[in-house]
Amino acid sequence: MKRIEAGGYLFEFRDVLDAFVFDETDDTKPTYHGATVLKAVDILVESENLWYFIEVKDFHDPAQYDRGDGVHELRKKLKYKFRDTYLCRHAENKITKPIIYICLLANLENALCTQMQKVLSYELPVRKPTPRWQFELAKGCIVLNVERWNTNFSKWPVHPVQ
Amino acid sequence: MLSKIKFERFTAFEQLEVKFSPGINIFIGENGTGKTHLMKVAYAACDITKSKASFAEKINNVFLPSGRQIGRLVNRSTGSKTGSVRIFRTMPDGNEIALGLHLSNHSIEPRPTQIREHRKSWFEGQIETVYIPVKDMMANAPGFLSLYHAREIHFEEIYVDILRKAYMPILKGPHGRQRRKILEKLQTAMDGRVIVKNDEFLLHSKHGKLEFTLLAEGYRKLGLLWVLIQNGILLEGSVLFWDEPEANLNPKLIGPIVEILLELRRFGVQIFLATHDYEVLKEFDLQMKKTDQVLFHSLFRAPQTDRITCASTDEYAKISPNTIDDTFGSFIDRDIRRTMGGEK
Repeated sequence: MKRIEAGGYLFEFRDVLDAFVFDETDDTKPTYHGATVLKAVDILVESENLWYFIEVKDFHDPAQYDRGDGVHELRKKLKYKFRDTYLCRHAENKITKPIIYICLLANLENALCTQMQKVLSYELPVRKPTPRWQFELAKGCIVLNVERWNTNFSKWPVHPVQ
Repeated sequence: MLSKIKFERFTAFEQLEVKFSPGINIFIGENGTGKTHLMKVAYAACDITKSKASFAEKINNVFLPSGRQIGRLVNRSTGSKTGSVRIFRTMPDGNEIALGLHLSNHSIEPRPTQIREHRKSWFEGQIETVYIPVKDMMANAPGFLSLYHAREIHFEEIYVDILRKAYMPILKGPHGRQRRKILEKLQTAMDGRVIVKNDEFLLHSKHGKLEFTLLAEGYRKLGLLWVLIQNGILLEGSVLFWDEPEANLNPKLIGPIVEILLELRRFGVQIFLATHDYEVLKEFDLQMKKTDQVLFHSLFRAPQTDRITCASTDEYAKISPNTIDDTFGSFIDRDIRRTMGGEK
């Protein structure tokens, strides 16, 4: 089991091939990606068939996503974090499996999660937006709160850090 | 102002007490948890202060039990024979008075209401009230009142009452600043004003005079509010009951409706709403101020007893259980299952 702390939450990943902090700031660690001009999601998890890009934000703490244009600013941030992480992993030649992007937005109510997911999926984009694309950037995008995370990913429980 | 209601073995309720806000009370809950029943009882108690009907008779007319046997309103799940309802009201001097009704399921006819306390005070302090039912009546108004009085037709009295109140002529005297402000907001939202011609309601806008049968139902609702404010039914100290304001309304109109309801509350109207709608709740969450005294009441069946229970909170985020949010939660769960295709 891998324990990872990110965004004020402790994750316990069971039955995974790998899980690590991707926006690592400690340059002595082997998982430090070093491409500091690029944005990065918080956690990467590798399962047998998928890569999971995981970003954690507290919706009611705008300091975590700047004081710009509120929810639109948050969505932009989530979008570019995914795209930059994809770019970085592509350059590392590590896009070896389909990717699911999970945004854990603590304290965001269910109805607004569905709305955020709809718009973010369109903007990433999820799947192939045109037949000319040979690959999809993301197989899926999931926006959820802590309660829904623990309901749906019971093997990977998440708790607030005390 | 209504302050509290208590049920014992009445319709869906085995035993229930709900404390009201003097501002806005919003009821949520699955179908069959008694939202409409609660509002109908409270409405009946308010309405009789003006009509002087007995509480039992009014209850019978708004519930319309089979064969008008008022005893059928006793909760039958426990095999009990009697039921009661007590409703409380805070008077301007701060005193609380109560009106009670006790029923036996052997009651064939509505018996004279057993009013145990403060009978005189309850009837002396008149309450102007209105109950807006889910189904629109404005488009079907012409001739309905005469039909209702001449024939035995199976309509709950709330449908008759709303038309009687909508037909009231305009209140004399100038509109106050607040009333004018609310009417202006309504006129902007529906892009016109309501007129009555030969018992028929029409919307007078820049497009001409359009009968209500040709209007979208959302605009009819706005028109009804306009009429009730203009004729002085919804004034300071009155009580508004509105069952599912969202019915047949495009979500875009929910914002203006909630804005108008909050203005009415600030004007001194006590408001009761029952809703199944996320947009209604969210608009209140986004628009309300602490001073509006909005109280959310969640009616639900307690898992252990299966009895209807009420959990009240003044914080939107703390509504629990919240069946509306749970439904969105299930969308997320099902969406995740689809996205993951079995891998988790």
